[in-house]
Amino acid sequence: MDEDQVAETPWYEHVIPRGRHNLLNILVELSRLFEQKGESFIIIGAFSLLIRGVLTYTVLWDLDLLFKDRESMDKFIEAPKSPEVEIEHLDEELMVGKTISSLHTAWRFTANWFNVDYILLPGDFDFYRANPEEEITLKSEVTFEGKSYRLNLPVATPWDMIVKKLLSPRFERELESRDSLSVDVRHVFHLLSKYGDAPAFWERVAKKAAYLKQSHQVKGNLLRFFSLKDEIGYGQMNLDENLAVMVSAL
Amino acid sequence: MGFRYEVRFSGAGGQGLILAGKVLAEAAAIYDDKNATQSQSYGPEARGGASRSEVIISDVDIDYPKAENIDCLLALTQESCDKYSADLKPGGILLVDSQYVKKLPPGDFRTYEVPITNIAERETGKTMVANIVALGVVTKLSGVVSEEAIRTAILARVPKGTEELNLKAFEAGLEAARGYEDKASGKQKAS
Repeated sequence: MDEDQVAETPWYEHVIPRGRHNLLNILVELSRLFEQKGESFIIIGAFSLLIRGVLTYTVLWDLDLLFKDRESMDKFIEAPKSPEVEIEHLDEELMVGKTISSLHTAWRFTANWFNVDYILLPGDFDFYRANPEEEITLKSEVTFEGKSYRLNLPVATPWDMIVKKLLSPRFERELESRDSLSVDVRHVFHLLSKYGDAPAFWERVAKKAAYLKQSHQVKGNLLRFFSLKDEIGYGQMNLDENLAVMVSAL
Repeated sequence: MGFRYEVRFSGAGGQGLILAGKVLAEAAAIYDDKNATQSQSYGPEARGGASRSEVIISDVDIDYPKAENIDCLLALTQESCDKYSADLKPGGILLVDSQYVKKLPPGDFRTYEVPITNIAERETGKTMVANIVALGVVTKLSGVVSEEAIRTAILARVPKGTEELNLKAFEAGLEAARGYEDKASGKQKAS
């Protein structure tokens, strides 16, 4: 699905103008670290959906870097970075929770700070890399205001993101409470709008849901979303027969 | 030298505090042409039930991205008020949900006790939008971003058909704060 990696409009147009050079420099630096050190992180979350052209609106974005384990995160933190980047740790230490551990940082090359969050989610790194034949590395050359930025980054795929979104307790909770400001529900809506009629997308969703042995839950949460879509402000989404068939097959 | 204004939203997980922080930061950075950072940072004291989101707004470049000298603190729970009020600067705004915060910290603050969750329930029928009500109160009391910028930022985040609920919550927050914003000091109560 190479075409999925190309946004219809440049994704960076949905970043606030004064933050674009900074963000692009950060992505180049992450690309360099990725190439030097191998795959120690994967970009997940909303930013992965932005850079893959799923989300097409402007908000203040964060970069979520998922690490395989604590050791790879520590190595990443210790790895020499460009002398031009300034990094501040916003947390005093890795905050370890029951299901997620995180260290919030802010990076800047220019005057603007950009949030880069380091994340550990047990089992998730392997989930995103469960099919080695799938290419999750996003390569592109961005030219912005006369300057070129070469990107080479491991970025979560949309089919993996929708599975993870649908299975998150927060998605279920916010869907049931009809939370119109729910970020996860909004992301699912945009994923369905872009890929809802793409059989190849649903084949991959089915495979990854099966990998987690959560096919029933993924299907159930999708059907729940469909049943509530009018109430939560997404009534304009078209549910054609093909989509119903593909979801039923999960 | 430009201004730097630090806002901390605190409460329990699931109260929409991160989102409130993001909307405030987006209003400033995208619609009010200011510099803004938003983060959810935790020190060791964060372990437990308290949660916080911080926004720094400035009309010049932001040198340091951590909020350490808070101008405006919102506390939706007693625990968050106890944990996070230490960084509130003298003369800063302490805004608490009077339904849940009964014991106020000592200090030279401009304290506002507002029944934020009750207002959300009364005005919209949904306590879920207490974060947006709080955003309205913070906007009015701090004056750090324009009301129009917040309205635009809210509308940019909600799907069609749900605008009214969220804008109603925001307006309810503005209304609750109205009448306070010109008072310089002292403990304030709203109903």
